[in-house]
Amino acid sequence: MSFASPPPIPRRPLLRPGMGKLAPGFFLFLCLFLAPVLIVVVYSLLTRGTYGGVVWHLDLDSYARVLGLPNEDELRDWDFVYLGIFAKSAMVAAATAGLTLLMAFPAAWYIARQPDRRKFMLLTLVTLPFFVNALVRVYAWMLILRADGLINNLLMASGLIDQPLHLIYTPGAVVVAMVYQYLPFMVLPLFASLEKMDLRLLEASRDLGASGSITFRRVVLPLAMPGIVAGMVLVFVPAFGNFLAPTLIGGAKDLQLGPLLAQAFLSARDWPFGSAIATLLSAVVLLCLFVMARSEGRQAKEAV
Amino acid sequence: MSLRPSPLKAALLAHLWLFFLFLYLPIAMLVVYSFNDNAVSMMTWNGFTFDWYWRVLANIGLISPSSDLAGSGNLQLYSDPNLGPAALNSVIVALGSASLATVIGTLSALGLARCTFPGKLAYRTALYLPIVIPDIVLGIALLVFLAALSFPLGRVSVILAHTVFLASYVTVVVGARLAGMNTALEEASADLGASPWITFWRVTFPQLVPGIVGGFLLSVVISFDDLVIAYFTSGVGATTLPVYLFGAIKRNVSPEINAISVLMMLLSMVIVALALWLRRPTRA
Repeated sequence: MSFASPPPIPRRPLLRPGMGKLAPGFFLFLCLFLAPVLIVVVYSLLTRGTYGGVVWHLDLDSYARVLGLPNEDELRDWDFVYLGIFAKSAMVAAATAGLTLLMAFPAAWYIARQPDRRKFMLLTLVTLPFFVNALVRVYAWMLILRADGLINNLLMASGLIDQPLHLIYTPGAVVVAMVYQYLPFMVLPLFASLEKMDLRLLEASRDLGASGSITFRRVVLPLAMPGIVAGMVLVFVPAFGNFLAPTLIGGAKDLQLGPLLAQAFLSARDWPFGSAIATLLSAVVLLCLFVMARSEGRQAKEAV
Repeated sequence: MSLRPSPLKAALLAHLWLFFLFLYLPIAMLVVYSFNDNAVSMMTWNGFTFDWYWRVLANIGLISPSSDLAGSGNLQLYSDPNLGPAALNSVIVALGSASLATVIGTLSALGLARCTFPGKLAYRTALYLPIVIPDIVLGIALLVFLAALSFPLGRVSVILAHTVFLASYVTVVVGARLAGMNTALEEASADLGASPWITFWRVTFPQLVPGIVGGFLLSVVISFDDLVIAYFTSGVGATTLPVYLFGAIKRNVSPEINAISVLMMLLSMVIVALALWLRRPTRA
């Protein structure tokens, strides 16, 4: 038997008419996703028209502007303002991802150790706020952080302060609102990898004399790494290009990528420049997702 | 960890309580203060009122502005002619794009599950892209694309834009249902002489219905939720509710915004609860 050719795969009844079913989805993907995204990439290489739009003249100046390179024709000196915006957005998104991880890890650990019914209930409770409109959730934080908001009202009433604290319109406010928005994205992958973890490995580590912190660093963290990486990426990616939180509760001086993109397309009408930023943003996002896929792939290979 | 159970466990439990407090307190606060009878300083509690809700309902046109309910209260009824059309646009866009996406996404999931072709894995992965790409990139890409085609911005453009990423969601949700389904029933049906068409409608489809309905409901919620993509593709005439709300919040916060927020939240929660209930883990 072991030398016989593998048994033929049984023919399923719906095999032949199957491909046609893919056509509408493929058409949609091609026309309304791939084509628009490719147009953005092409536009990023063109020249800005005098009254908005683009002129079909190949030009890398949009990228040069993002990178801060000087351009004598346009009387432009070195200027790293846009690189600074990239860096600032990355820092805010990284802080969001880090804080989300710190908050979600103990919660995910606890939920993973509950009986099945309880697990399902707790995970539902974690996901439910995610379906509250994102705008409404940022708005709730506006009401909490405003000068006459909940926190300042409570602190003033208790006599701890007599001038309202400047909480809203700061990078910290943006981080808090985004942590709130993306917590479920961190809990779910963490839960998935913590639930699979074999607790006997932790006992073995303790029996062999490792302290609690060493067990955590050398056993728990490596085993949880795919969940940590997935959660960090799933939070970092939407936070990096976030439009809502920086627009509504970010400071006017701390411009981030999302609002910058909206400005480039809606008010400045500089489409090649906006397209260059969108292309770079997408490149960073794809890179992050690639890192995540590779980390998961490696884990799957090690498990075999 | 079973070795040091009590202090660690207590700390974890305390953390979980704080965690859920953080998740639910802002929402609870919004609900509570939407009943606050203080038009000037809305975060200072001044008594309980339904006024803001009556006003919103009157502005949408669900109750008559001249009724006693809408007129009661401490301010003149201000009427906002944009709220009603925005709510209507949102409903039309959500139902339209969710329906289209459900049909297209279900077909894609069936096609992906039931046939093999070169590049299938790559295509399956690519279908995730509309979900994972930042919404602002998808929004501007569609704006640029529609402008290049001189396609008029309106309800149709928003419906198309939403359908693109909702179809991917439905493909994933229905695909998960299909993956967990036993093909033995289909094979039995075929062995017993049923045509593929009959097998699909009498065997496959009934098993898929919870996945399809769940995918549809989630699509409605996600479409209803979306601000960024609608912001770029709706143009002037087809403002959806989140786009309207965004504009209103940017101008100024107001008690009516609280009431609208709570009503939107309630609607989303009801639909999500229904979807979760349909997809609940069933015990054999």
